[in-house]
Amino acid sequence: MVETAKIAIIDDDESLVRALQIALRARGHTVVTAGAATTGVELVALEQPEVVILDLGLPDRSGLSVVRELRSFTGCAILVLSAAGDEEMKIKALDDGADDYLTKPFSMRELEARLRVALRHRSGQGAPTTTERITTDRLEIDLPARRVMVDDVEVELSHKEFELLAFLARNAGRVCTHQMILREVWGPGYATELHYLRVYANRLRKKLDDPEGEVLRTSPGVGYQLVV
Amino acid sequence: MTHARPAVHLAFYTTVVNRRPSKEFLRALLIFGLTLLILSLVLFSIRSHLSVATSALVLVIPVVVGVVAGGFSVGVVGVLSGFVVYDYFFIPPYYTLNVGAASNWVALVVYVVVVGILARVVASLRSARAQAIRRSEDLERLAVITQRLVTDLPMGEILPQILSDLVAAFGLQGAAVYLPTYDGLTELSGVGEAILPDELAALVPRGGGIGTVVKSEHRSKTYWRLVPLIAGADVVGGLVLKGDDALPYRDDLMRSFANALAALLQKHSLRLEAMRNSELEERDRWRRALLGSVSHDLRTPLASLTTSASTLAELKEELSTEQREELLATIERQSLRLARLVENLLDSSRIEANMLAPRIANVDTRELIDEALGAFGEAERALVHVTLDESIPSVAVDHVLVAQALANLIENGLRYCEPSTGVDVSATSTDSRVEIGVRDRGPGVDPSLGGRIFGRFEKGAGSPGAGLGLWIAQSFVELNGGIIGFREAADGGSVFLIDLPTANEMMVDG
Repeated sequence: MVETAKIAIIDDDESLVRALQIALRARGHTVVTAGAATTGVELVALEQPEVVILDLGLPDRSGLSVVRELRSFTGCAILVLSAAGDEEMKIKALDDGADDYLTKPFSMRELEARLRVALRHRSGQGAPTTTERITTDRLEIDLPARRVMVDDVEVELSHKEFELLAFLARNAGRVCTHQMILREVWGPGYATELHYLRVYANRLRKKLDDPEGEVLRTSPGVGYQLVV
Repeated sequence: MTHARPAVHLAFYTTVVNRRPSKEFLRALLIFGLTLLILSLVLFSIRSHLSVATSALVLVIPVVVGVVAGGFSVGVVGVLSGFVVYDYFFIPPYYTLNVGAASNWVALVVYVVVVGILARVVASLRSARAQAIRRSEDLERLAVITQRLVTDLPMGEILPQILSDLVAAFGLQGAAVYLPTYDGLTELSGVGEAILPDELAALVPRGGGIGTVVKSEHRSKTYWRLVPLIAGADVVGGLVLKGDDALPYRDDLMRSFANALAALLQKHSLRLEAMRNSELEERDRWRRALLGSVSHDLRTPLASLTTSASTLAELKEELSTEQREELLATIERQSLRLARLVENLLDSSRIEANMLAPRIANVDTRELIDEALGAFGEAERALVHVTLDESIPSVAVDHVLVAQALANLIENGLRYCEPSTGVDVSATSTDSRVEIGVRDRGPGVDPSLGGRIFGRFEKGAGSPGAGLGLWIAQSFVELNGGIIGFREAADGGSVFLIDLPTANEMMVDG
């Protein structure tokens, strides 16, 4: 059984909001909606939802400013929707604190998958996790001990490989942009050295026995996400 | 690479001296002969009363007349024949070429010297006068060319005129201007007899193009020649001349013609380039806007379509009948919206390509409005209130285009109206026109749009849509001989008006 949650939808496209509402309610979620940025922020403050589905193309204000404002008072998962197909906008939203994104049009299956990841990660707490141990079906990460186990077998990671995995683990469930990762793991001067990241992500996948990128998922042109 | 300005090409505009006796020469000779004959007969009849010197004086006259009529060459003939006639008939002993007394010798020599000098002087006066006339003619032709250059006529009209001037001025068979293109020479304009491909090929320098020097060719009696047209340091084109004789050129006039043509071609190519650039810019803008509307306006209805359809597919069992119906209604509405958008995009491409020829026929105004409403789903149709008098006449339009224009106005109204008031469609008529009004009680037209409301890609701030609907409506209405306009309604909202011609009895019913 999929866990249920309270979900806020902020989008000015009424048809889409109605369809989402029907679908999410049928799945057992509680749904609240708003058609503009200002009413949306109020709604989130009032209802304290676990997930916010936010359209970046709102009529009254830029969706990016809404992401920043929401992040100032809530740790809920933010899923941004963009109709423009504008990569830059998505990346900015993620940098500003959004957890994941969907490009319109999307199917319910896609939305549900993203929701599941966001909900599992956000269940009950805010901001980046402070947990010291992160466990998934096959993966176990002990952050203070710098120990990684795959299927109960310890894996040897280099210093940078571990730093990369640890950063993604601390933000598990969230799409981290290339810049975010490079700045945190390699340092501010490396923000554009994309190939470093590619090489290390590939090595990590090999060592974690994750050839398809199911654990360390690639968001093409945007960044990486550790799926827990 | 630099093009040295060719100095040689001037050398080709040299005067070609005609070796055959011209008509003018023969005519002058005849005038001279007749004058000489008449004066000789008169002198002969009164010879006994005249002195030898008097006859000499009178016999100067035919030579002067001959020189005036035919130039110095006639003068030479005149002096020789005058000498013979004078000696034979008027210097005793008569009818021999013997010159008797010493005084007669003096008279004869003085006659020849005086006539020779006179012929010389008169001939040079004559040629000076001819040159002056020619110069004033040249100036006149130049003035005509200059006049043509400053007129803002299209190239296609000026060029043939200048070429006609050229053909007339030089008595040519034909003349043409060519442009150098990547695969040879292309004729831009031609006058008179056509330049044959093989004639042209013979003029093209090895390596193609036009080159920088004048090139001449001839085959039996046909002569043709390629003159490069040079503006600044560039060869902008080539002038090809064709005549049935060695082409008679004069440096100054020919050069002026060539320079004028070169200047004209350069001006033309600059203008073409500017036009092409602005056309490219416009196309670029169009493409960008189209891409923008495709990515946003197509994705928005697609998002609800995909979500609704996939919800129906995946949650079949969990949904109530009402929820299923709502999702189905959303799918219908969004499909229609998408269809209208695609229709609009196609229409604007058709307008762009000038592909629309309206098929005008008589149409019932009510049917026209119904046709426009057919583009909307049931829920939207319920918001549109149509009030029409029974007496509203039919209109003479292309019903497909005008219904589309009306649908765009209604869609625009629906976008801004309040669900409680909806959109009102009504019509009024005069003898020859029907005016259909589409009214919403929305916020009115964004004042920053002002008069550009019907412009392509123009839309209010925050408004959905590609900004194509009203532009298409205007294009379609105007194609049908109608007028489109809008005004703010006194009690709020906007009224869009379409003014159409009423049905014509001559026209078949649509």
